[in-house]
Amino acid sequence: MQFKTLRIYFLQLFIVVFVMPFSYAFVVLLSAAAENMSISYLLSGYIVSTLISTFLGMLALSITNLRQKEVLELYSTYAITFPQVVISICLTYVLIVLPIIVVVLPFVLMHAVRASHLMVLMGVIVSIFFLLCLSVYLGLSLKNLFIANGILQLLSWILILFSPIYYNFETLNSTFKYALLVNPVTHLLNIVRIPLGFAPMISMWVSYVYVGLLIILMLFYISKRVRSTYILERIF
Amino acid sequence: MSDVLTVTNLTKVYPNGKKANDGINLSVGEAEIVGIIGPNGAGKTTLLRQVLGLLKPTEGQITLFGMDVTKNPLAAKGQVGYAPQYPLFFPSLTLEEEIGFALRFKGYKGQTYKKKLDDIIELLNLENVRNYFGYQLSPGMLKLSLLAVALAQGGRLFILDEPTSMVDIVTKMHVWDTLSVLSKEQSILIASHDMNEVKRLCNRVYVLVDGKIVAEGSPEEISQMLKLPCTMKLMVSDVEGVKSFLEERQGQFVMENSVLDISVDSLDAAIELITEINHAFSVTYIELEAPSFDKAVIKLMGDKHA
Repeated sequence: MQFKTLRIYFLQLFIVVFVMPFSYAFVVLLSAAAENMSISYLLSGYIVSTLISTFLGMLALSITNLRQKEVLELYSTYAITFPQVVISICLTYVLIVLPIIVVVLPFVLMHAVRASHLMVLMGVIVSIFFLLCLSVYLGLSLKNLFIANGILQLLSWILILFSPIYYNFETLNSTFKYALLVNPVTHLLNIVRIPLGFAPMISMWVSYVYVGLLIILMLFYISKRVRSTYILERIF
Repeated sequence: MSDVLTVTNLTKVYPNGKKANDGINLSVGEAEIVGIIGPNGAGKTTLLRQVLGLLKPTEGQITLFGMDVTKNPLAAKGQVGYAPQYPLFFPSLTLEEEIGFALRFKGYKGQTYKKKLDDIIELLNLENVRNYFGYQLSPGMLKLSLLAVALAQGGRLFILDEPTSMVDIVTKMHVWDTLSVLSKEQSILIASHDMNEVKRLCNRVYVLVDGKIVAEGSPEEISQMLKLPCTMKLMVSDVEGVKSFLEERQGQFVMENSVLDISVDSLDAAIELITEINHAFSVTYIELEAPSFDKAVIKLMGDKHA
């Protein structure tokens, strides 16, 4: 059902999921050859930026849209509950980004100096789960769809810009490095790139703990909001 | 007749302090059509949303199929067909898909699914628009699509919030016939502004004003509740002649274009007057309702508002 409800947004989805992250990656890949940057490094960044662009740009907005009174009432005409709708939306977006990951990941592993396949895969799965939680959390927190549209675009841009997705962490000054470590996306990149043989930005386990704690906090909030059965109650 | 739905002393106060429902008592029996009628903002939709478990009651009890909705708000899920007031739609789903998903969620598959889908589409005369997307449908068609989803949802109770508003009169009559047939086996709770709809369909009616029930009974009982004058609309071949005739008898009347709107004290007096006028001036059109359900409801609403 969720796939079919996205039909009308096909072009928007194509731009957010494919064109935007790919255009970044394309430009960087062109300059990478000249600067001798690793393709594996850039493509792993491409995977994470695709996830941010898709989940924050579209999924979070879908969740905010779902919280609109009319949409809630429309879903209430079906024999499904609010948590079921939220889960189905999440699964839909995971299925949307999965083909990109399946195509790009072998290239990442192929060009890596050394790769622990299992740990790379785990890093990607944790990244998907973290960004899913972040998007649902933001989608549930933002009530106004029009404001959400602006905030989520801006936040995607900030998360991508202030993380070493397409530039090298090593060459930055130490103040900027500390600032980047606040951004959870830096930690997601860390847990994906260390198993690919890149130098750690910080210990991989610190990144796992940081991301894990944020996931627990967000899940706590999400479960509280999603389990509220009186779905129209907070609207008024 | 056992009750499918019982609402006891239900009160709903919104966070802004507005009391939308105030001590409401209501019941819907098996195979019964019950109407809730009231002006805009009377609290009809709030009442229905509480029954559906979408809003939390402030006080009172709602029992649906023997289950306490206030304790188990999901009791209505899957057991009640609901058609909301507004013409809501999924812009990316065709009408067939919208109804189809309701059937799939209920577990229909294969040939049973196809047959049920075709039956519902045929029942509501939606064959011509079955492949139209939500945004391509008129508001009237959207209301019918919501009704179709409610029918697909099935269950022992249908809760319909102004089901035929925005629907043309021919389709409206068809929907009323469909609901009448449906009510032989299922119960229906309708909130409506349409007095004809309520009069035509409902076994019992609750008049809701400012969140309170001000009258309850069959449409006939509500009509007889107040001693209202009997009114009739007449068109005659000689309007001036009838005007003089009524003035001579000091009758109460208003003339709008060529239609005479006459008020008399009782039905007997009305019949006697019509006979006399027809004998002397030949009546070409007559409209008489006595006692009038519409006027009784309007009077009840007006009195409470005042």
